[in-house]
Amino acid sequence: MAASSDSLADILERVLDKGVVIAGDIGVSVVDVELLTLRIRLFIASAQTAREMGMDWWTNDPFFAPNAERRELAARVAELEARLPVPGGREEPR
Amino acid sequence: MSTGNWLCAYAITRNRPSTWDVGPAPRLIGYRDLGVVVSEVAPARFDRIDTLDPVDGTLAELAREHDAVVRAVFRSEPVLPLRFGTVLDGEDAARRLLAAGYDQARDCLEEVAGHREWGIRIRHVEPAATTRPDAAGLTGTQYLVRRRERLKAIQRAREDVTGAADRLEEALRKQAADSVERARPHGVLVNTAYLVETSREAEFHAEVEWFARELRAAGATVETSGPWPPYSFTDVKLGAAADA
Repeated sequence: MAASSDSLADILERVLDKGVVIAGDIGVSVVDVELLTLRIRLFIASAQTAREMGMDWWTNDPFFAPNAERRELAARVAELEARLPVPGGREEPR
Repeated sequence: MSTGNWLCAYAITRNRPSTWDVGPAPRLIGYRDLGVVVSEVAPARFDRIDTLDPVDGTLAELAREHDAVVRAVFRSEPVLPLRFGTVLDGEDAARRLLAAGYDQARDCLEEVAGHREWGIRIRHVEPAATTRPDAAGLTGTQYLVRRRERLKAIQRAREDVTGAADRLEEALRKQAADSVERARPHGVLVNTAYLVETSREAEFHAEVEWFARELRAAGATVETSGPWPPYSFTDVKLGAAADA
């Protein structure tokens, strides 16, 4: 089969975004809140570099990228346009 | 906040004595038949986490280290990976964590035991639908006919790819114990993690290969990543009320 590629992007995607989370109310962890804040700052600070590497998995997340919907909208407009009859043209024999 | 080193926690596993040949010298803190894998980490190592370079910066290094420990444990025992940046307030806290989340953690560990995670990503970059044909020398009608043909061709290709992708996903769901869809950046049609029992991995990959041929022919690419510890299938909050 094709070589698998466990890229840094794949690792970050899993390590930062997945895994068991510990509820704050059992009082065992020290810095979860601070790290969470750092994580969000990090995404914003490095978004440009990361996108260049193809690590742009959060760009469709409305929290980080409110413009994500626009691309989808453009694609839908193009699709609808394709269905329109050509003005002044004859009916397509189909 | 305590001074001295932080106790970083990487994963919950079975309480069996082991040594792991991995950088940060992790150790196991046990409670009944469960254990949490921890190691001492100097807090200073987290200082520059927000000024990283994603390639070889602090965060990349720490994330790789976290992954390396989880994998080292996973080589011999089932694991529940903990979210990166889980720092415990000492060994007693580690035991309290296992005690508070015992039933939840044990059930979840049983579920993922004997399974590995595989990632499947299908990329398909279509020509931009917003580009327009060169209008030079065309009548208005010819231009519109051409533009419509181009859009239709793009749409046909999209239908071919999505059709094959749907069939692949359906086939893989039959082989997998569980699946989780992940965020899809632009140009990524499918980004799904599958939890596969080790005895079914050969069939799983045979299906991937089968549909990859069809997808490649339609202009898409299929990437496999893994095997992973079951990161994407441990979406639990330990210590939170189980009935939530």
